[in-house]
Amino acid sequence: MFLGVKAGGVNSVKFGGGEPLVLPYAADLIEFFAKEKFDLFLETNGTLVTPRLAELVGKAGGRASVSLDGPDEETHSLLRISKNSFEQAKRGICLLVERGIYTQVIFSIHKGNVARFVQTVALARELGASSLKVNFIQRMGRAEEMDENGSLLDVREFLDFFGRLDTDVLGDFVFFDIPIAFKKIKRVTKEMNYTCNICSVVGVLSNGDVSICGIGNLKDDLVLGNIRSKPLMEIWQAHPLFQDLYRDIPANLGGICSNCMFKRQCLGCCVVNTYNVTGRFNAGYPFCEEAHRLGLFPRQRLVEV
Amino acid sequence: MERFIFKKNVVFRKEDDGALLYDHDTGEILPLNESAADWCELLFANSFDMKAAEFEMRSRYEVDKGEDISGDMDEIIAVLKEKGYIVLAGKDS
Ligand code: SF4
Ligand code: SF4
Repeated sequence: MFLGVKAGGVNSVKFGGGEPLVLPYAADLIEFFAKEKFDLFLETNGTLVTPRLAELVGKAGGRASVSLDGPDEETHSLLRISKNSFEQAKRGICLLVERGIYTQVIFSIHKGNVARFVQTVALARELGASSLKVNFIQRMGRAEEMDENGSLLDVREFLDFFGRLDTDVLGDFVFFDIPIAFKKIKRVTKEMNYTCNICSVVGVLSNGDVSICGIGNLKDDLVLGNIRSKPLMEIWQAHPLFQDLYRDIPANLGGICSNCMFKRQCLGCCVVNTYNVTGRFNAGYPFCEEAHRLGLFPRQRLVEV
Repeated sequence: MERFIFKKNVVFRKEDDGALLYDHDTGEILPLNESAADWCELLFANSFDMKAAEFEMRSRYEVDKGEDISGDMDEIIAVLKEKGYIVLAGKDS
């Protein structure tokens, strides 16, 4: 399958999950990516990183992101199913860093860890991570449950937190997973191209299901075929949903996105989240819609003010 | 002397730490740092008086007399011209 898409022009792979390293063939796959010179990006919770796996990721010239939701076991584990994973996650980060791999810490922010953010940044630096990304938790999958428990920050709270931090002081080490319209010009200049580039992405799940990105496991109607019954390229090139997506993004983005200066660069941020909330890929991005409704969307970033 | 103005459908938005140029026709966006934003404001959003713009920039940024800043201005004009954000006055389409 990978050789097929490589021949079709694909040269980078995001190996994520769930937790991709639980797959019994994870090491073989990483080795294969290295051999075939795919750009590899590993998304992991860090607990299953071994010296050998880190070695292989290093050989593949890969980059990695590791979740670390707090500076201690208690905070890190608050919203996790498996407890006692903090030390393992730290060890995983160290193993990757030691091999010179660009390693980004992912801090998924919620009400239980927001007060420990600064300490987590300090820990990430201490561990030698290359950067830390603050993730706004979208209301998808398991996070829907957390939302019901009132654990997640809403748009106002997240923007408030973002606004209170001096991003200049945090420097280039800290990134915010926030739509680009909310970023200062200095950041815009650096981060304008950091999109998921959804119009050139395809997701393959561990059972062979194909989706527009790794999200098909959350939505049955986004499973667009299976590589066991059809070649990936055939599904990718022919499925009407992909065709609709490429026609509509960014040209026919609706709602707030249609009036945003950044729509061509941002591509509606996360169209899967938009789909999850609205049933359409090209509706306005829910985060920005909500910010706009609250009067918190930066007006100077709108085409028509 | 050639006089440049923003192309029709180019939106110039000044902010605290710079400015954004947005081209309605192409959807392209160009972030400008603080001084480039000032140059743009002084030149293209006004009467394109290069001398007056240079004078204003010297006082805003307290530039030493001996320092030549006209190169910065030329560079900005060249970049914006090349990227199609500015056009010769009278030739806007
Ligand atoms: S309004 Fe849409 S295009 Fe603009 S920043 Fe938000 S998600 Fe991106
Ligand atoms: S659409 Fe959303 S979930 Fe999918 S790759 Fe892009 S940002 Fe990630």
